[in-house]
Amino acid sequence: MFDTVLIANRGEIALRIQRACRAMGLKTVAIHSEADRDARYVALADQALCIGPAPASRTYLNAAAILLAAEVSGAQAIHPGYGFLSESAAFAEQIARAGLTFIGPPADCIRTMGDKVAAKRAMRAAGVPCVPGPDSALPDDPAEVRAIAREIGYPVIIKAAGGGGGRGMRIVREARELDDTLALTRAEASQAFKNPAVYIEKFLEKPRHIEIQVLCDAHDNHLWLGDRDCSMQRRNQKVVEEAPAPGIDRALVERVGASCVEACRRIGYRGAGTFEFLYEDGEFFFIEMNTRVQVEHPVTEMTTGIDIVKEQIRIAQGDPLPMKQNDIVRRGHAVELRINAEDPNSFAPSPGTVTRWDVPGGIGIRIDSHIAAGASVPRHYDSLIGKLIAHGATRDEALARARVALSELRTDGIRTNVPLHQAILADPAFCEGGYDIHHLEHWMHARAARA
Amino acid sequence: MTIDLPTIERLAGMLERSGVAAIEIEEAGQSLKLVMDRPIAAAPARAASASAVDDASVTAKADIAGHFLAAHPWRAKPFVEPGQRIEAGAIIGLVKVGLIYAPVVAPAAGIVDTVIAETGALVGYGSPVARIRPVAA
Repeated sequence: MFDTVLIANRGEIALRIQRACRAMGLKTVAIHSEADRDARYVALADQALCIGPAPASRTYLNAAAILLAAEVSGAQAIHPGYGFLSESAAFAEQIARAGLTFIGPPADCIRTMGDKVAAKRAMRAAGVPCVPGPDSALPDDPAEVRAIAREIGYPVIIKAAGGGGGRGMRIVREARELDDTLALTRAEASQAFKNPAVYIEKFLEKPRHIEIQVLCDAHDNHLWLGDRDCSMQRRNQKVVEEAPAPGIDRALVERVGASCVEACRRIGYRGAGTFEFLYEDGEFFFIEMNTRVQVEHPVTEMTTGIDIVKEQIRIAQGDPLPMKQNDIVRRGHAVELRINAEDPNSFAPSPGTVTRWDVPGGIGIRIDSHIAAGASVPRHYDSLIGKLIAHGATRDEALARARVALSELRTDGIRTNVPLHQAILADPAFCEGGYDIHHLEHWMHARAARA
Repeated sequence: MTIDLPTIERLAGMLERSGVAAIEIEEAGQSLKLVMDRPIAAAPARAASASAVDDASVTAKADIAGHFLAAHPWRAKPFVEPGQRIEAGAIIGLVKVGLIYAPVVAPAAGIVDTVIAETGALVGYGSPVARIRPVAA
């Protein structure tokens, strides 16, 4: 059983994990780069260790430096947060070899889910609905691939087995484009992911991105907490997330959630995880599993009352989950707006010093942010500076609270995407709910054309 | 007899106390040569400051997180002391990380002004360890 947790991350999630640890009476070690030296969560930690210069490759991605910091600080457990090393099976193994606890799933689960073909095979075996297409890498012979594509029916999408998050994939709309696109995707896959394996799936034209949150302990308890709609995206980056997904048959969500639980049981999953699906015309199609806590976890926390990060830590401590599936009650609606330090029109990053930071509050409002007045936003990392989460008894109430909160949020010194969020909250399609993953980009194109 | 680490540590201590410069031991299948590292005689501080380029001191920084040691774990005498003349690259102290001892080296030749870090203190990447007044080569 550990009493000191090293937080191998930065920004809002480092603070989120620190808060969970402190509330549980655990000591925290903040590792950080020189660029994050003055961050508030670094000062709030029981111990802070600068482990390198600004570039993430020297710090937050540097497994050796993080393990040495654990040794020096006496931390017995490491929480990887999201991004960086959170889905590195090798990192999880190194931590175990050092005799420490990785707050996350077993390394073999991370590895299986990191290989999209192996993941799909495991999901199909558990009865999780998958996108039409074989659950194996494509054969070398283009003629065989043409036959497979014909059987699925165009349009199809070719994806790198080692890819994910929108990278390493290409759409093929007609048979005559197949050979060239196949060769190109293969070449890119071996270069970018060191894995030339590619696979093929039916391409969905206007899907929604719906995901299921799971929590599993080491005592054969596997739960699904709820669904999230993350369809408001720009270049595969989520901008707004909400729970539950509006306008989807609840009985269908229940069935898909149960199939995720079954998949977790079969692969021996442990910890928090997310099954990502595309949803189109009343059907769910599995795309990938994220074996970590996600940026958008708060919307599920707000609707279920379950502290997902705390449960991750308790699971790593070997404790059984304190609730059963029937105990989970989803109440009301929650929406999360990702506040980024970026130009609201060009989306260019806007690093610098935050000179003023007035945050909203009130009933149903939660702000997860590491920012304070005087904080610097380094140019070296992603631009997320905080998340505004609004909860209400109904979706309309949550959105109304989000609008008021946004109007109270004031940030000086850097530019933020708050104007974009204000426009989204005024967009009739968003207010109605059920928009697809291309909606935001189409809407922005239309707005640019009008201007 | 096997030459193991405790043996080497004991021999080094004996050489240090007795002022012997070096020792060589040959055993069947193994040999050991220990040469004591004699610090360069400290130049008089007054003469040194006369040749100082300017007042701008440079800082030797740790480049790994760990516990600082001003002296080698086998020796009482610190690597450097204030007023001592050192060359660029001279070892100023060690940072202990588990079984690893990483040296902190002088970024420039000069006179040691202060050793800021205390033995046993936790230092991080970039933590100042010592201030050095550069001296023209």
